[in-house]
Amino acid sequence: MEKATSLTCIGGCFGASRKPTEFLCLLLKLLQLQPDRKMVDVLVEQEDFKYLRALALLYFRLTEAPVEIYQKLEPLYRDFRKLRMRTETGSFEIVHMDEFIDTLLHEKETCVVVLPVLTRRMALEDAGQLPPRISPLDNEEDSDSDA
Amino acid sequence: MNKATSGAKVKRYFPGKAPEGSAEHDLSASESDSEQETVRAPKHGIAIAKLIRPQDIDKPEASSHSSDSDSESTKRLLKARLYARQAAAEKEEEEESSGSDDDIQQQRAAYKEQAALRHHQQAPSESASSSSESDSESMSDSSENERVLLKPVFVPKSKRVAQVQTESKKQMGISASSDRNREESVQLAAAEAKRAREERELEKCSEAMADDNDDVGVDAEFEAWRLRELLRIKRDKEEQEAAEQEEEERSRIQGMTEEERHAAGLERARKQREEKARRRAELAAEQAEQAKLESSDRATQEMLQYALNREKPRSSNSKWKGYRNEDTSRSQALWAGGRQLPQASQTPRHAAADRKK
Repeated sequence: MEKATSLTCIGGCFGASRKPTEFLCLLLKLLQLQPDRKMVDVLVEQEDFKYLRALALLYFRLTEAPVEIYQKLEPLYRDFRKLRMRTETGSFEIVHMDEFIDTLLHEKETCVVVLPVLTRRMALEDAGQLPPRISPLDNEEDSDSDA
Repeated sequence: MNKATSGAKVKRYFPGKAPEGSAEHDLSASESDSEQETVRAPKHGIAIAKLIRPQDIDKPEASSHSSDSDSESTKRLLKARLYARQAAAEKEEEEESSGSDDDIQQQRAAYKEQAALRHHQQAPSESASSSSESDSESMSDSSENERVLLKPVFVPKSKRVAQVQTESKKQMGISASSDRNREESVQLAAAEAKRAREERELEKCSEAMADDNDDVGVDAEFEAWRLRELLRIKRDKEEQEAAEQEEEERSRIQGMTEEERHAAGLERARKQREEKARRRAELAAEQAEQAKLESSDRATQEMLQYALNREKPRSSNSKWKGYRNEDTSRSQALWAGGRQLPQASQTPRHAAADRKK
């Protein structure tokens, strides 16, 4: 975890030799350690280390059930901090936390990790397992319209 | 006796006869002689060494040497001498077969020296017993045998050169491959170091490029996030709408009766036919347009030709040949003012050219 706090970027493999990033190595370490749910919650909810949060989010996405993933990840759309992401060529890109979460929820693969299939949000809503999403902007607009 | 032993002090020996001189003297002499031969023998290789085989003679004698009678000693000497002579004969043959006189001389000198050396070394212990000597001989011979143990394998002459070449090649190959290995390893190490350096540089520069500080321009960041969030909401809404539409369509089809469904199918078929006809008509129109363009092109071509003929008639096209010079209607017209038209001045030449044709 000390190492995870000192992370400087997220990303998969890079370079000609497909060298894995520290991010990926630590993800593997997490999967080996299999920390319990509380621990992961703490890691996700802490605000100090954004890369640690990203790591925990990816771990959460890989291990937990769809409903919980939606419940846990969607509130974090609020977080718009910058993340440095390492591309396959070895260069860096800026990705925001909300973009990262969006890829986690909507893409099939991120950081060279194939994500498990996630049930579509609409299906869950229809099944009554999940309330419709309320964006912080919705509230804003409501308040604007009210004002 | 012979050339090889002429240098040493040797007396003539006839087989079957007792040697000349006293037994004591002869003993030492014969011993020195046989010794000389055994010393020489290794130099001449396997054949002689096998021929001499002194231990065969000496060993039984060594066991029975304790009696030390005169007759025994003489027998032993006889045998030794016999073998010595044989060996000498062999050596002579070899020397004759190979090597020049100079070589022989040199070899002989070397042998003499060695023999003298041996003789001097063994001189003090000579009186002790001949068994020790025989032992030493057998020892030397056993060492000789060890070398002999390498079984000689016949290699035909044709293959000898090839063998040498392959051996040399093998040596070369070994050295070359080791060199190559070394070079490869060096290159690998260099490449590794280079890559590591490049990676480090890349890391450095790209880290310098990508700035993930969150403190700068929070408002702008927030606006960007707002935009993204709105886009996400829009996307979600569109997805939802599409899904709803699909659901509606499905429910509509499911809600229809059999006749309605049949009618819908007919309608769809009709639409498809219409579409097909429309596209065919479009294609036909396109083709007709092209054809028309081509035909009109041909017409214009013909008209142009006609006009040109009219303007500048060919000699073959005109009925009036050579009469243009006689035409006065233009040059003598009042309004021309006696001025010759350029066309009129050119006409004679044209006429001439036409006539030539």
